[in-house]
Amino acid sequence: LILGFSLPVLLLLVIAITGLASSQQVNSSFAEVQEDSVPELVALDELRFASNRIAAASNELILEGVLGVEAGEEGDESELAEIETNTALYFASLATYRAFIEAGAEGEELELLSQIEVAGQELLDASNAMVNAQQQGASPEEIADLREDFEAVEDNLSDIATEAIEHEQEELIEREEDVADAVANARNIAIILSVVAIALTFAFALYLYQSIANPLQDLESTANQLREGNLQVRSGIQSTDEIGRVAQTFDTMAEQIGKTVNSLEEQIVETTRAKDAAQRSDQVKSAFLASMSHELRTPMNAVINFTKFVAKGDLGPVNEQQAETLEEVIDSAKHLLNLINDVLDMSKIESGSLRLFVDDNVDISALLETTISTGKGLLDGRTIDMQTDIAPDLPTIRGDRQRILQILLNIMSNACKFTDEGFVKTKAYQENGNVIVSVEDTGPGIASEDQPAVFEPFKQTSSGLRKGGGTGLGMPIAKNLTEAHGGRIWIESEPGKGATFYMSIPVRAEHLRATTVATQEAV
Amino acid sequence: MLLKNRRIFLVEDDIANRAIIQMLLERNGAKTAIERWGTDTVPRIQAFSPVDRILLDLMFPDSVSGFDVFDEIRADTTLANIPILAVSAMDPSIAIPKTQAKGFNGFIPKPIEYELFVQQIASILDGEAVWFTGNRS
Repeated sequence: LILGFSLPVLLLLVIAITGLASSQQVNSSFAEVQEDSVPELVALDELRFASNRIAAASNELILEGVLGVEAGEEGDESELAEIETNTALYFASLATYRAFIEAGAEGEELELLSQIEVAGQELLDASNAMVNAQQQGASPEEIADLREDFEAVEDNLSDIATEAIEHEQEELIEREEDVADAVANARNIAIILSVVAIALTFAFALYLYQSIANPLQDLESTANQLREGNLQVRSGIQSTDEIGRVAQTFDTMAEQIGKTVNSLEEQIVETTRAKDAAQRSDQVKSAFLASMSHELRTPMNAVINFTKFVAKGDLGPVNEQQAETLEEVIDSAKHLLNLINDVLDMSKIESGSLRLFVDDNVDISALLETTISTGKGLLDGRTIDMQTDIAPDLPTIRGDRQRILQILLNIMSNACKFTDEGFVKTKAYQENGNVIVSVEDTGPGIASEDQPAVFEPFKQTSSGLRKGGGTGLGMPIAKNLTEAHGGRIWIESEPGKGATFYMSIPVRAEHLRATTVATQEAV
Repeated sequence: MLLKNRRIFLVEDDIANRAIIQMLLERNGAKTAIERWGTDTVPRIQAFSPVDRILLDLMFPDSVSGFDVFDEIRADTTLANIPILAVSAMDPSIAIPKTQAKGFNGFIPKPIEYELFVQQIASILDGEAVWFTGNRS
């Protein structure tokens, strides 16, 4: 490209230099013409002038003599001096002329020079002869003869000088024509060079178009194809100029994009496969849970209800001790059923298959009553004051009645299980679109570092383990069920100062939609 | 005698469940008939006519499900209007939406509540729908 750019620049330089050179040449030609021709013409003119003066002085001298005019010594003297002066002028101008002729000798000019020299010498000789004859007192006839000769010689010289002047003038014209030709030449050369420069510039523009615009168009169409998703496409431009480098960088980039896209596609395939596998695994897990739920509950039905038949005396009389023992069996069976339900619930939560039965009007006050009476039933003779502070204007809330009851029962049974004396206080109120239920107890309390473990499955605190019973799933299930309702659950507690569990549930959870038929409330 | 002279047809494969449900119903005055496998249900119901209510288990050991039996019963024009109640150990959170969508008239989970069951059947007989998710204590 640099080469391409420098070519027209070089041409323009050549044109400029040529232009300058030819204008200088023209100037020097004019100078030369002036130097050469003008002094030559001046010399010739002087030569002719001198010879005329010589002739005129000679004639005057002769005429004075012939006419017998008494001019005195002085008269002759002035004519003679004039002749002498002009003779000197003649030789001087002749010498000048000769010098020019000899500098640039041409056949015709040499010829003219020798003719002038001969004719001049003849004129001088004739003049001398005539003047001498006059002074020596020759007869007028003799002088008239000499004068005739002299006039002939004088005419001859005048003719030759005129011819020489004409020749010089012709030459001057010729030279001027030469100079004009040279100027025309220079102009022609300039025009030709300009045309060549324009042609070259045009050619270079074409070359630039070929070497820039075409590859750029190729590159553009390649980029468009790449954009349309053809990842195999490459510009394939191999030139080493700037465009070539851009194209090669582009190709490298396209290669890289192709690789990245391929690896992303592979990752997507891999991720999709993993996701499908996970979904299949979830489906298998859900199916397993459903089946497990059924298989575990079916024998529990027989265990609980047959024992009930016997305990109630439906199958024959039982004594008091037998009835009590059978009630123990029923309690244990129900506890086992609760454990089974908890484990199944936790499994459903962890596999993401927990579903809520959403009712738009869950009466939370009624659920709290059930909860508190269930709590009282758990005290087994411990003297614990079951306090309540339930706002009278609690709204009905949107949620799963059975699951909200499950949350409240889990919190309540926890409080009752861990409190040996004192009180369990249930508080409920509405605040900022949420219903908040708190259950405060006077149990051992939970150290802040143990508090997070309360909501983690299968992690009972040390006191919880000591108390025994339960799966350690009650609070984690309560937490998950609360969060499924868009609410949250938390503890405030210090060791030795009891614990307060809080549950906050939105009155109208936006993400929940009511299930069609209301479910029957548990008794 | 909440269920005096009521004719209730039971489809149940588990022998113990069958015995318990039958015992509870008959002790309260109901007349019952049973089909074990869910494969011969329609002719047996027809043989027991007039039937007040049908109690249907949802899961059977072979490939037939309570939902298939439901379709067979509903396909028979003479039986199409008899209310059908699902009694199942299936997870209520799965079974209730399914049975509701199918057009059952109620769902009672197993294990059944000894004290509650007869009341629930009576409610059904009075034309109420019963959707019970179970009890916890």
